[in-house]
Amino acid sequence: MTGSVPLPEQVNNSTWHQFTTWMTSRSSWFGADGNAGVFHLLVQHIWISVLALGITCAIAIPMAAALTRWRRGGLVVTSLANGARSIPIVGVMLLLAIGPVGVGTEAAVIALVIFAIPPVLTNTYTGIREVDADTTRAAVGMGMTRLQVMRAVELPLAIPLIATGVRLAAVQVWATATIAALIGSGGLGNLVTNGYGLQYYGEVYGGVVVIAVTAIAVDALMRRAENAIRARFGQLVVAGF
Amino acid sequence: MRLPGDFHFHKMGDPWLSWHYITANSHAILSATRTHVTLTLEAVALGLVVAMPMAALARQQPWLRSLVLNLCTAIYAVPSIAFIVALVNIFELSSLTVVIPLASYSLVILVRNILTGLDEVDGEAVAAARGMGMSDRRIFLKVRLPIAVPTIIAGIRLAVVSTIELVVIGGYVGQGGYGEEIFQGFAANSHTQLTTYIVLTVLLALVADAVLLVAQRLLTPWKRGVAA
Amino acid sequence: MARRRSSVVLVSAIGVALAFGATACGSSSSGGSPAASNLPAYCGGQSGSGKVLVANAGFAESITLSDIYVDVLKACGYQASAKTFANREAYYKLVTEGQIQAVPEYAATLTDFINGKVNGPTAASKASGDIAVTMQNLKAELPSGLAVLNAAAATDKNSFAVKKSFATANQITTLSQLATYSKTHPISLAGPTECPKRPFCEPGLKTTYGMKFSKFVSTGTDAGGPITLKDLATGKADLGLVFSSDPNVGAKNLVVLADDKNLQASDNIVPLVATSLSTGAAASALNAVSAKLDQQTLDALNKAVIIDHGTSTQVAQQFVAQDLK
Repeated sequence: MTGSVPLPEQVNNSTWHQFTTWMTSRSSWFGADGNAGVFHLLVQHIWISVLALGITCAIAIPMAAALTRWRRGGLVVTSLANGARSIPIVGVMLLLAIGPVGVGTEAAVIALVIFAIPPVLTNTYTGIREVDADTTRAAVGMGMTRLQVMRAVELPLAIPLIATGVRLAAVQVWATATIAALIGSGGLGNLVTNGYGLQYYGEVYGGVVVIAVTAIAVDALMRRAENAIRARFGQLVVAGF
Repeated sequence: MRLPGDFHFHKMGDPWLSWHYITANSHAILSATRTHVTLTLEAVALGLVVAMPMAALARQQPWLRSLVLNLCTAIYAVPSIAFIVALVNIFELSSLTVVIPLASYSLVILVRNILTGLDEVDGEAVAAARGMGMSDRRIFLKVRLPIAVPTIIAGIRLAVVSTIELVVIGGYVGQGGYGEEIFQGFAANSHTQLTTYIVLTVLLALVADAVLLVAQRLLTPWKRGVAA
Repeated sequence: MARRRSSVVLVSAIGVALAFGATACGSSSSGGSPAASNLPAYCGGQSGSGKVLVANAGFAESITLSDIYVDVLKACGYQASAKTFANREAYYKLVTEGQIQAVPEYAATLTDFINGKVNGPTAASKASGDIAVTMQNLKAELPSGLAVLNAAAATDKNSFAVKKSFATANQITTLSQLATYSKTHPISLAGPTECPKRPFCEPGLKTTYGMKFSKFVSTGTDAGGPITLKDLATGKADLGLVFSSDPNVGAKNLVVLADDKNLQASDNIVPLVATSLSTGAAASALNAVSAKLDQQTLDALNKAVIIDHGTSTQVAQQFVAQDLK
């Protein structure tokens, strides 16, 4: 799936002119000649990101919960977080693409998940560990099993911190999904790689604007969502105990 | 004279890691290391130069503070590949294509840590120094800065480690140090080349972290024994 | 605590070693140009000086060839280094500006690329099946400041491949047969972003063969690389642009269709250089490389990198050491 017409040979104009042409032409946004426009790429980008974030939560939250039950869990969590910070995501993505996974969306999603796990894991782990020992003891005293304590007491109390972790992961996934264009998985990054490939800087700069605006919007949106969750579950905690 | 198709290098298949690969390509590895380190240092140095006045500005007014911090966060949210490719057209072969985006990303860590460092200086220490007759300049040099140094260096450490990882994407425009080797490994379908340079990137980050930790201890002897 | 400290010591030691190695390496490579008596024969008894930046287009063959250029130029006294770009579009402007001084190029594609820049994307192709004609046209249209040296016998044709199973099921071995098939079953085409505008690609398939396409699947900057091969293997596209010298095509159960109407001009490898390198040691050395690059040798170079996983640097060094004495 590619970005949009016109091609550089047809617009031998200044970069600024190319940029305004690209931004104002219908085909850039809606696509033309079987080429995807911004909106189509945006849908792909959202799909890749939501998929990656969903898988991340499905893995990281239970994993963090399990690690809180293990004496050396904290060490595992910090090592994973520190390790992931220094591993180059691009390298892992390219490696997965030439390896058994092959180019395409799968490799992109796997790489995104690997790097989104640490923030969710760390925050969930800390959130559960910070639950007051008296509270859990009281719950156990009420006859709850360990699993029930986790589900009914510890996880709900950890929600504000989990929300922080998910926000951090979401912002990171959205930004990193741009790189996924390099291994043929679609998404907004295609605007940049296509424009660069054709040396059509109208599309490059148009793509940069679209990518930057959506990235900042995702950041802002996730902050609002996090605050809303914090407000709601913060109260629940006060009311409950 | 060899026959066509007969290249006498050690045919090692394509293992995930190979010591032979490392010894056979030591020259390329060293030259990529030099580029990678240079790009990282240039980026963090530029980041520091910009972060100082930004932090100073942020300390003037609460609204300036939130403006500066929000600006840093917004820049950080812009994906690196978009930022870098946007500059290729302007700076072409200059390393600024990569250095400017990476320096911009380091701001989110550096500005925050410089601010936190300076905030840590409590009013009483400053008042005491003033009581001893110190000038504002001496107070800054003898009281504020020494107290802020550990936090600032901690910020530099974080910035260096995350920059080392980010440099790799520069390989897309032929500028990445290890990144250039990683993109070439992708083109040549070589697991060995990719994993070697991924591991080297991680190793370089660890080394840099350790070296800066030592530097931090040496520069702040009074903090020795306090965990970083 | 003790364990932590020892790991810090170890890691610092590696750091010092790396830094030391880096500086040692730096001082050796900045040494002066070799004495005339030590120059290899391919320098033509002359020695060169100054910086030379060699560009490549980011795929294995191009990277290996640029490494060979760097090796011979260094041996003749130049301070040469290679840089990887996404494709021709990405480096060409820098070549015309004189920031890049040498590129391993492809005669026919380069001819039509420049032709397209000068005369517009719909200009008739100036590349020919006869390399002498192509070279003549290429030299005539080169912008000032640039020159091409001798073309090699080795070519890397653009080719079009389909899945082996598809070819067998429909008894298709040539592009003409595929065109006939496409009239009733329009097919999808995978190629790099610039394909719909390049005479050798989509427009050529339409006009020369009368092929009917249902859609174009862009592979971005991936020309005949892993994305194209996967699109073909998974059926995302029926027909894809590949390179004739790529050993991966057969390995992925794909088959190249015969270009029975000669749409593709032969793409002989040719050094594109700044005019400052069109004479003297550089010209002599790069022409010596071209002279040794026959089809067998190019295929061997590609196999060594892509199938046997030698690094481009190793393979280039061996080529220079063994074939260019």
